[in-house]
Amino acid sequence: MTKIIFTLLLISSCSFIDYGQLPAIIKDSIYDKDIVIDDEFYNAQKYSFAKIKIGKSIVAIAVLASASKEKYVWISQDGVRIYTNNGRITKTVGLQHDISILDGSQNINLASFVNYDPSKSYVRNALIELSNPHAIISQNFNLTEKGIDSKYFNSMLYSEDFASGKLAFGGSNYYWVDPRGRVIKTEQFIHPKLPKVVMEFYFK
Amino acid sequence: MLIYLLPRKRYLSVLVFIFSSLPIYAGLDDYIYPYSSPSFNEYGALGLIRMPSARFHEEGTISFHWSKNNPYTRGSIIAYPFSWFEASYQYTDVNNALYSDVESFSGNQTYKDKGFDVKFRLIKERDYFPQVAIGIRDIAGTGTFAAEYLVASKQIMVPKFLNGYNYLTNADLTFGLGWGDLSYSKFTNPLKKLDSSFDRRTLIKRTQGGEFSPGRYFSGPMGVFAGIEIPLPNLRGLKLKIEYDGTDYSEEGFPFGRESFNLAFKSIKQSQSRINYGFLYPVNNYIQISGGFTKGNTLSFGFTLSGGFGKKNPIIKSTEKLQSVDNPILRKELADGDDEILMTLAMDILRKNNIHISKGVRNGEELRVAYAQNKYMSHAMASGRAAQALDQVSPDYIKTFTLETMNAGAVMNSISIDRETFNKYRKDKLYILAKNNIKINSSKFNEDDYTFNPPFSYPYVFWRIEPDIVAQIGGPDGFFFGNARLAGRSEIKFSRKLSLNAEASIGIYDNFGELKLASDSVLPHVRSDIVKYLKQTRDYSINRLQMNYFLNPWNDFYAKVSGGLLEDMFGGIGGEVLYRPMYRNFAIGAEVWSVRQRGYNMDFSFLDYTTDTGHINLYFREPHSKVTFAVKGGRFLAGDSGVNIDFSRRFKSGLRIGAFFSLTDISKEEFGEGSFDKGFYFNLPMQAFFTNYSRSLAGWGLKPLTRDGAAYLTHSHHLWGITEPAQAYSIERDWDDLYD
Repeated sequence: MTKIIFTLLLISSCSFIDYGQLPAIIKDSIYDKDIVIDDEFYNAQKYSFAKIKIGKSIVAIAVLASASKEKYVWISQDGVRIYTNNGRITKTVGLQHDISILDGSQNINLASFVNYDPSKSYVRNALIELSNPHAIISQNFNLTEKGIDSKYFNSMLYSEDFASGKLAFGGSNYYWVDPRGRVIKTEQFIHPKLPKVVMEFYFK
Repeated sequence: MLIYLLPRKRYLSVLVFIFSSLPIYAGLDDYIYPYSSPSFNEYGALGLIRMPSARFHEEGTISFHWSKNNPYTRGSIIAYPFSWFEASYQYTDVNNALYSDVESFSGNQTYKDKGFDVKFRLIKERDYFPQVAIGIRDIAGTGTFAAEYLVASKQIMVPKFLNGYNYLTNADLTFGLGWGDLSYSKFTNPLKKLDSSFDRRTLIKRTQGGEFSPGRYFSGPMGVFAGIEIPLPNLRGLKLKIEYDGTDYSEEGFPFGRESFNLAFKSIKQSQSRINYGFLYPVNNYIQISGGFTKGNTLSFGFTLSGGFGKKNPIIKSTEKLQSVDNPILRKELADGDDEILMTLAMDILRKNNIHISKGVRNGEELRVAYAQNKYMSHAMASGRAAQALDQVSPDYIKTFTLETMNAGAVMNSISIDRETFNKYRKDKLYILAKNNIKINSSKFNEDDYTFNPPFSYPYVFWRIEPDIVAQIGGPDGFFFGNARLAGRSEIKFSRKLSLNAEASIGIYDNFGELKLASDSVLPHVRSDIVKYLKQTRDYSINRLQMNYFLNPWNDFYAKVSGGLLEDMFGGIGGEVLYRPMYRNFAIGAEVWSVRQRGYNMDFSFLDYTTDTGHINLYFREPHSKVTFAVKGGRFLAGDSGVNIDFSRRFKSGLRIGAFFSLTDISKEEFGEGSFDKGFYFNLPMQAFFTNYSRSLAGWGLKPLTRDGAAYLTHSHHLWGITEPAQAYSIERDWDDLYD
């Protein structure tokens, strides 16, 4: 077996990579610059807006495009639309993994912050349509009041525990509500394949 | 295995449901059991832990699998040219044997075994019938790990009465019959009733390796193997694997040290258990990690990198939008009645979209432009974008856009798009209707046909600098040698037809210093002196300096005359002609070269060896399978005569998977180890990893052995590649990109 064995392995490019193009995967992972909302930034905005943070890597500003009672539609610069109802994200369009609460956003008040009565049960149920991959899951929510959060504008903090039946997708969402009953910040898990979504709402 | 988990009275029910179960297609399962694609066994075939299964990845998938199971460390490259065909190439480091019996030759190098495996799907899985496949391991090697098998796999669904055992949902059950190394059970081979030659395995004697051994396949005693793969719920796709191991460890590799092979220095642990256990953890859709406990005494570990590259937007979707101009109405008004302004505006908007007008003319209601582009892999997309862009600046009286794709100074195709129809279906992207009013024609460049001639000052230089790696694996001097270098590549255009291709590189880091083995080839050393070239070009090299003159004397007929340093090892002069009719699936060409071997320094020096080489080139694309056959027949560099046959399949994404072999008039002994020239390659579209469109391809090729037989000149700008847009199918295959 004293043979000459050569293996030539050529890794070469028939054409070329434009190094100005970073792979999207890398782009996502290195973009962790946060956006500071100070007075100057706030005053520079013409309309109400929301700061959206998805996981640690994606930060975006979305402008309020339409409002009807507590149902808002926020549109980011790259066209992502996020629908909220009382701060709860009820539908997204344009994310890698979108969701849509089926009829819940219209008929079921998932988060009832105004006139919250601790003696009552705030257990709710909703069907949620997931994309990529497509599925429809059932989720149970239970809203509880956690008290004043002095670290965040003395707002009232609510937690919403949720579970998804057989699917191991559960946890707690949080809502910060100002004295006027407006949701000013939320932390939500909306899709099993998305990290936590944090939204801060700035009204004008 | 399943039966042992259940109460005795359920045996019958379980057996019934196994063979009558339905596959699961519930959306929720994608979340409870994510990343459910099949996984590789230790031999680089889709399967269980060591046993194969009847599973296949989708066509266009390319995978790399690495595994460690003492005494074997194995790297495999697996490709799926079709959804029914798995081809894998393995490189196994056998750690209980030396590379050679000459210590100064092999040093501490352990034995390396190369293997090529194939698996074919015979029957596709149905509701009540398993998927069945047939496979041959080590089909053309030394037979160290040779095995053949017939295997069936069935996805099973757990019925209601098994509530509480829901983790079995979607389990994949496999059962197989094996020959060769998979024949532990040693049943009598039933195939001997067909032919007595199946009774015992026959091996080729006095082989140079790399030869097929049909007398061996499915012969000798037969064994069985089985196993189950169970996805565990809500554990990020974690799978448990249990198998009955059919490996005959007294046959595989060199089991008993020197008794088995004179270079083996240590025996291999024999099996203490026939049951292997393993797990698979998918990190995401592209990476899998596996581990196992095999033979009752050996731990194993592995990982896989895998991607389905065949489809449109395979990994990352390209999101680069069509660039528009401000105030198109004003531009149309400006262009109204003034063709010079129209052409200038057209050139401006097309340039924004990386499409460069060379010439243009308006003929009544037709706007005709000749353009070059190096941005879009899909010619249909380039045409569609050009039409959408021109629509923004063209006055309403322009009814037809005629777009001519230029390359190497010639018009490759002429695409006439009816503007009204194109715009009518644009909003809904109804390309199937739009293409009915698009005509593709053959055309020949005639400078007098155009009135718009944008200034273009020659010489024009395109250049780029990029990292590059040249590597050699598996030689006796060491397993891996490589040179990371910086390569500069440029093309200087002196006129529309005359250009110079220059390539040079500067070495950054290499370990070629320890390469020492000289060629033992009895043929002229046209390739096998590669070690000398690699070692003497560590610092810098001129890889190419090739002058080209292109001609397009008639429709569908192309020619090229070239001279200079044509490739790494040869320089000279020659030419090529190609007839490539627009609406045919074939092309025919010829090339002839007079060359001299370059000095090992790859500078401007030459060695004494000179030769004349030339080929008749035939190309045929089979439309149904989309496989292109390329046959190159003639005289090769070492003076041997014969044919090189290349077959490859191109996928929607631009991925090409191919293989080749050559047969010439030299004997197996003259050729040396490997017996004949062969290899495989694939070209990955780089835009799969980016959000921008790109025509870049990353080429990866492997020849198991670098020998001198059947070597041909690898000159640049081969006409077959240059004229790719010159056949209608290269546009028609991508109509779905028309409005992207």
